[in-house]
Amino acid sequence: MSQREFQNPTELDERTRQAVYDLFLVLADTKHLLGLRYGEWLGAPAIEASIASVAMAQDEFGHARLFYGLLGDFHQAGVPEREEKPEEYRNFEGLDRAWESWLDFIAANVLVDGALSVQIEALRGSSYVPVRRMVAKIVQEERFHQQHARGWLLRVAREGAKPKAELEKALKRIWEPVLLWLGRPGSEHERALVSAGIQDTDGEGLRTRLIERLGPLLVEEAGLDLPLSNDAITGQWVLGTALSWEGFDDAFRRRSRTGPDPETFRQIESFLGHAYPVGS
Amino acid sequence: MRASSPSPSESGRLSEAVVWEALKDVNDPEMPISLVDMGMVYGVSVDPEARAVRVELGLTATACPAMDFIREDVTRRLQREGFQRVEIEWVWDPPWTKDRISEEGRLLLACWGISV
Repeated sequence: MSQREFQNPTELDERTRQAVYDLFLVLADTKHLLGLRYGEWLGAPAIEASIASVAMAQDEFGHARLFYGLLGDFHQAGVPEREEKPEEYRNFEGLDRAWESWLDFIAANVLVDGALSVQIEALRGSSYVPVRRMVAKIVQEERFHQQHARGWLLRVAREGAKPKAELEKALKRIWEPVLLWLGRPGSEHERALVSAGIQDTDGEGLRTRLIERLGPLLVEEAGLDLPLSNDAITGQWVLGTALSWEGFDDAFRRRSRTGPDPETFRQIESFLGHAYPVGS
Repeated sequence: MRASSPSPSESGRLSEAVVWEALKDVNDPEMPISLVDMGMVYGVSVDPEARAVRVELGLTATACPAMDFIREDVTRRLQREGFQRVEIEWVWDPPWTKDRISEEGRLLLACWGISV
């Protein structure tokens, strides 16, 4: 791709700068809260699962730290500091409150972590150099998360009809928000990110990658009933239902700006006022 | 143990070789070998006039809990060489892998019963 590279936010035009800032903040807040949720499962059903959940939590905090570090440059470039209220927090909406069961953990491990990976992998050849330099390490660390997600998904799906049905319910609870999270087609944000070469495809492209990855696992291997099927002619995976974009906020990547629930907010509050502790 | 900070007239001796040598004294807080043997030092550049040094360090994991300690240890050690400004850049690409550990490092780790 013959395009220019950007070393810092001042080199970006205003529209792109805002879109990149929004993307990094969404990633930082989402990884922060995913780490928090994973960490709550230190008492997971098996000791191996306990170890895995805190190891994954640690990775997510590490990645959040990297993205918060990138955001520091934007504040120096004049992007205002964020607010300190729950409704300003930009985490994925399915992480607002604690998960009720281990099945919610598995569902998020498969879908939320999976969507995060697809989004971050799209920054592999980014024109924004500071983020491009982080991608390989994050992807290296995420590989284990996908193995863990896959292992547990198949284990539960093969456990019997009832656990399988409950797992389907857990997946369906966050199914649409996860797909929306990858970005609204044709939005200002999408256009800015793609035209400046920040990421290599738009939200629609990211969704295609995610369902191409998930289809074989969820439908073929696990035999789960989800609105996803393989087109017999093209061989591609397609969504069975249209997505409802009503209320979707492109800067927050969620349908409502409610933010984390009070209990969660109390846990992260002290973090918010000085959210960018580590420079690059 | 090296002598304490050199006088300003000694700033000419501030070189990249001096930095690499000094960093051999700084151990990874979680491993009994130096950052150099761990392969965590990705690059060093020195501006002797400004008595400034920039060290590129690759951590083994993004969630390395010892990030601040490593920063402090490196800074303090290089200040002892006479540097007034120590800048540390965290490098993630190429990602650190155990292939970066030196032969000497492997031997030392083996002595501690750690095989890599």
